[in-house]
Amino acid sequence: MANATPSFRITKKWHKWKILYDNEAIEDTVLLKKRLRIAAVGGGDIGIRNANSIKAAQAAELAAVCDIDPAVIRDLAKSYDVPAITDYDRLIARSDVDAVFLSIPHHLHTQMAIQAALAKKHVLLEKPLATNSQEATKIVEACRAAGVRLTVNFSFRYRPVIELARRLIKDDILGKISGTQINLFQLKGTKYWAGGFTGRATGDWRRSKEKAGGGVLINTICHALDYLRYCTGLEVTRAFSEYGTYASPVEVEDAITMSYQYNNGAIGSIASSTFWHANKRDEVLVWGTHGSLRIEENNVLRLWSSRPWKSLSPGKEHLLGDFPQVDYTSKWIDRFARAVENGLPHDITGRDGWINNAVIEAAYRSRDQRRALSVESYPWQEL
Amino acid sequence: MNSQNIKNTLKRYKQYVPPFLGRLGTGIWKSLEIPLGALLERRAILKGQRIVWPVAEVADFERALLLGPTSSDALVQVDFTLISPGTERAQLQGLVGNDFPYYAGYSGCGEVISVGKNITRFQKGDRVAGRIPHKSPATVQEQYLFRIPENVSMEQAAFIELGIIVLQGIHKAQIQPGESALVLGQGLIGQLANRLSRIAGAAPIIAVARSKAKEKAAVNDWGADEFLTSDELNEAEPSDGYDLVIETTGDANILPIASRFARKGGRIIGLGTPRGRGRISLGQNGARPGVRIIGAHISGIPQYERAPGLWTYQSEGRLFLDLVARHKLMVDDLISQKADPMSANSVYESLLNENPGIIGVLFDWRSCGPRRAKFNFKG
Repeated sequence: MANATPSFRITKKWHKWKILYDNEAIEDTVLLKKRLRIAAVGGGDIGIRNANSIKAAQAAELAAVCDIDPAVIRDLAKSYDVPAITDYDRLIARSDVDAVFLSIPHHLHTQMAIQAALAKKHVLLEKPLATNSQEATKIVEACRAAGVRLTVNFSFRYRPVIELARRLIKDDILGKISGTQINLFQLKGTKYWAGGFTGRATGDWRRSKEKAGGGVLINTICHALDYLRYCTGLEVTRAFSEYGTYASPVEVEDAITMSYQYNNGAIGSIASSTFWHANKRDEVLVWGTHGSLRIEENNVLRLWSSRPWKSLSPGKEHLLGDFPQVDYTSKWIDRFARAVENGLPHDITGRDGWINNAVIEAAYRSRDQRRALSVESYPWQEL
Repeated sequence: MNSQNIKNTLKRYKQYVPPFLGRLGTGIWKSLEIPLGALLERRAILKGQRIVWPVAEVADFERALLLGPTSSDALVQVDFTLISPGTERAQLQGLVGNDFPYYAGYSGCGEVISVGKNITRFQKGDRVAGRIPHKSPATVQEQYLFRIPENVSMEQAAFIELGIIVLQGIHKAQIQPGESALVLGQGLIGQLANRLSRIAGAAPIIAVARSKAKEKAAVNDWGADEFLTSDELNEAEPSDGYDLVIETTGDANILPIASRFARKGGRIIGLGTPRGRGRISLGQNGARPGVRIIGAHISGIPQYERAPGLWTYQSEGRLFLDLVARHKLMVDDLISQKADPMSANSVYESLLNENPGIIGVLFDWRSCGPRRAKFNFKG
């Protein structure tokens, strides 16, 4: 589905606003002292992709690859010339590993992240942070106690289209934010639930409520929930959802609707299905008192505002597109590595992961309790 | 016919667009609309700036290509244009039936930079005021321009059209000395109506507005004698009423209120631009109180003839400038804000928020672009 050519004329090309990255970029202000040695744990589809991203990140170094099944990481270890380790305990005992990147089933996050923290390794986790809030709390507590850094792979934040959306909202182009909407309709298929799109690592953990924590909401929509937080700076305070399993051989939900309220009074909703056979529909809408924007498939942003922004005139719809292809995962790893090496705060923290889990948990529990539930607030003071 | 049409037409018939025409549909060329007549007249095309409202409730500043003057126009490098908040707010919201995109503004001043060959009254370098839109440079027909007297500042002269609007209403009202006047609405028109009816001899003059914010500007030695909010007016003890009720709000439902406060046989002067429809009863609001309703909107001004109470545009304009020059009429204190046209978007946004403290806003075009318009094509 990637990079289908848009059939419309894009009015503004990306190169006009490269400036977006310049202001907040750590890599522009901080010298690279030493590379962070990260071990990639998990050899599934995502694990392999993440190992490649570690390799691509300038400030990081792939220290080792690890999976319980040696067959899935053998090729990778060979091509990158790094040790292939099957014993996780042995991996975290190694002195040439500074951090672990865990791309493993959700239910293993807690135990393996805590183990890594105890071994004084920084922890990079695939999203979601954990299967539920209690587990998430354990991970954050362990990392805080051990004094290691914790970050969660909400790297969609680094997609240029998201950066642009954030900048527009920050520059008050939409006025006061009054609503958001997430629509995601796609076909996941049996193969996805059985282990992954390519099927290189089999396992049915995605089907299990206990192991995965949930279905499409915790697996996929968690990204949009996070980058909307990042773009708008708003927190979801109350949520209600209806969901069920309709067409997939799984225990978790394969379709969901949800409505929520933000801390500034703004409102929002989610609609999603994973058995949508027609063309994929993936859009995020944000609207305010003075304008609206829509992030669509194919990395296109539609903007309408009554206020001008740079060369965009007010009062008409602009199609902003032609963004560069960015390896956003490696950008996230790179920025995390630089922040760690220089003792600076990193971008996506355990707090972001924890809040994401709290919103999802409130949504899941609201259906069983048949009423909208308040989202728990983060229990710790930020450092 | 606009530039895109020309380009498309050329493409269709010749299958070839010369490189210099290839730019027609892009960039600043998009803003140019060439009527066929203008091509035949060989009018110049020049670079300028203007304020445009692309859709309702949105304003923007844009650089555009503008048509040069015809043989009977003067080309004016604009210094100031005046926003009349009430009228322009209604237009911006689309309440008066205007289409979008809309190019607003009708009162301003500047310096003549060139004149058409049929123009005799003005020459290059003259300071002029008149019916000038929010645009610079502007092409203005000779009959809508006035030479500014020596001791009138540019800022004062920018009030010209508003002055004419009110003056022709005052003339139509045929005010007698000592007649009491109730002025409903204290926007720019209302404020000028206070001052000009005082000059015409009305006394006392009671200014009425929704909020207290405009009291300071309304009540002074050259304006109204007393100020009432509309609530205070409603609660006031019944009196005989006023000889004159001057309506400047444009509110469709103002007539019943106006007739309530008019004396038997009094006159209601309809000065505001009416928006929307209201319900009135001829018996209750007109016939029984025996009031006369005098339509005094600017659109009823005679072009050429001059009769008692019916002055022409030119004579009203000259009178306005004369009154200002002789310090009979004060307008300086009505300027609440001078704004950069480039910030038009936020100026109009705050206008839509109905800040009652804003009376007159001047756009200062002097900083916009080069002093002299660049002629990049001379027909």
